[in-house]
Amino acid sequence: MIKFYDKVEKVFKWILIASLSIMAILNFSNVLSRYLLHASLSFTEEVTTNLFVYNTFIGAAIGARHGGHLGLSIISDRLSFKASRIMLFIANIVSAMLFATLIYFGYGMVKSQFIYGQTTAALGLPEWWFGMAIPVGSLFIMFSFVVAGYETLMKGEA
Amino acid sequence: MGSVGILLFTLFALLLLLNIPIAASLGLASVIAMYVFNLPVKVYSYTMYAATAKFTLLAIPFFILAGMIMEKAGISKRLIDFANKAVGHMRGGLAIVSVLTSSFFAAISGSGPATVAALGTILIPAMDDEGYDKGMASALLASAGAIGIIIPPSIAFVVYGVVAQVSIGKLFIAGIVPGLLFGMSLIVVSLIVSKKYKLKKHEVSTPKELFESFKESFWGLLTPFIILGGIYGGIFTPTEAAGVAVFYGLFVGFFIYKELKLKDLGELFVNASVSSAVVMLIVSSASVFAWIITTQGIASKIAASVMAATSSKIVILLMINIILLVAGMFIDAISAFYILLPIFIPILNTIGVDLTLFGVIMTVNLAIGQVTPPVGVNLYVACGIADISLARISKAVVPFLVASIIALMFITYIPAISLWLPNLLGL
Repeated sequence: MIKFYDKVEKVFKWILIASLSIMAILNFSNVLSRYLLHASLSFTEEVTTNLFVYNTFIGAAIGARHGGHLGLSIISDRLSFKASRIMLFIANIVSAMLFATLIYFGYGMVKSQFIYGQTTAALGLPEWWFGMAIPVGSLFIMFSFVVAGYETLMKGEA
Repeated sequence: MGSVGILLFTLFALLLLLNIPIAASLGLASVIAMYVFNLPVKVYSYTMYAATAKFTLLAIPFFILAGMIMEKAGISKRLIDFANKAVGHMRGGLAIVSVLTSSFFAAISGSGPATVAALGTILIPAMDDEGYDKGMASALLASAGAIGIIIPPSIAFVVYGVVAQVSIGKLFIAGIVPGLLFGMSLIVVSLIVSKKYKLKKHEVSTPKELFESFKESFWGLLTPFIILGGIYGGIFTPTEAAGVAVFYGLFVGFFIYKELKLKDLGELFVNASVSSAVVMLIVSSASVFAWIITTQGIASKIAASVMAATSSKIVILLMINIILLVAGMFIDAISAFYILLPIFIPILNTIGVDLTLFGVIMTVNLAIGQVTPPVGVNLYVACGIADISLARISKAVVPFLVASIIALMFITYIPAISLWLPNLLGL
């Protein structure tokens, strides 16, 4: 499972690089075109902000695996190594459960966007393309928290 | 504050104590409270999505990326070298250098821990070499890093502007003088504390050396002027400024300092995305939490009970400051904005406190929170670099904390410190 996850993580990293580059380029071209071509590319805002949602959820998945999400360790620091491992394991699994519920609610949101055929304001693209970021991103985050929990248990005494 | 509010906050505190990440604690507390009180739980994903897909918040990944690019381009060592040639020969020179470069780096990066990491790796060992106590040096760098979120550009101001619906450009300008005052107070403490150390003496640099070093760091020193000048001149918005900063950093890194390599970029983009995602996940879960606070009238109930107790502006501001300092010990600035601002805003409107001024007050409070144990992100970064215990740095940071709190009191009760500059510029 870990080996498989490592491969997935590589794909995630490429998605992050691609999305952040496109976001930065679109944002900068908008400034340039306003001054050089006197034309506003404001429709690009829609693409940038929606890529941002994907970027956030996938970035958060990588953060989840590597313990990047800020937490309060005042109690776990005072526990024995074994007890603190168990506590961290539970914390990861509980976090994974939150994102499991989010997959469910995100799916509901995407389904209604799909059924009602909602489109975005500027480009007229189907809303659900972008709404998908929530359930799909939550799935990745959930998976990463599970992997992180598993790795916590497996970790030997430092 | 009503039973929803009590459940919400109790759950949040419990989950936090279990070492569940802040973002997940906020989300779980919200989902459970919504479920128990029969609120429409499906609001969750809509609110999360709407909170994340905001053009203004794009400034967060861009400023983080710009800071990382600048750092990789070799900006910090040039800034340190220039500051060192300018004031290094004075007594307590390196301490002054630390504060000055932190203030400048803050003007590029906008994040506290990033500032500590970039400068601490060079300055903490350097101060240790020169005879400063390692604990003191780390505590100073951690505190100076907190200036990172006060001096613009600042991720904290971006989020505050979004939550309180205040102009981010104005907040940026309002943060400059308070940030410098904060830095001054740290310098004063360092000079007093370092009296007891035997420090090495430095030669005064020649004007030629000083000029050479200035020339080297010029492109870095120019960054804040481009960012702030562009925003103030109406050339671009704060979000666009962040994007411009990214390309400026790439330009300097590739063509001027020539230290940036194409193969470094992938890692920088991944790291910036992950750091931004950690902040943004908090933003998205905290916005659900804030949605409950606002729609369930929790905020207005608390506001009403505060106003019933006292209507003195001085007392209320003091109370708010104490709440924020305590909150800052346990949670990060971003969650604090989402959780506490909806509660404070009705109170502030009643007693007539300017929301831009309050943005500065709140940010300074939470900046102090970055250096107060048990959860002081800057302390962790600094003691990691210096390889000392959290206990040692926590002890050494006390005089700096006292000075910071005194600066905070000045900023709270003398509005002109924050508002003079934006008013002068007609913002």
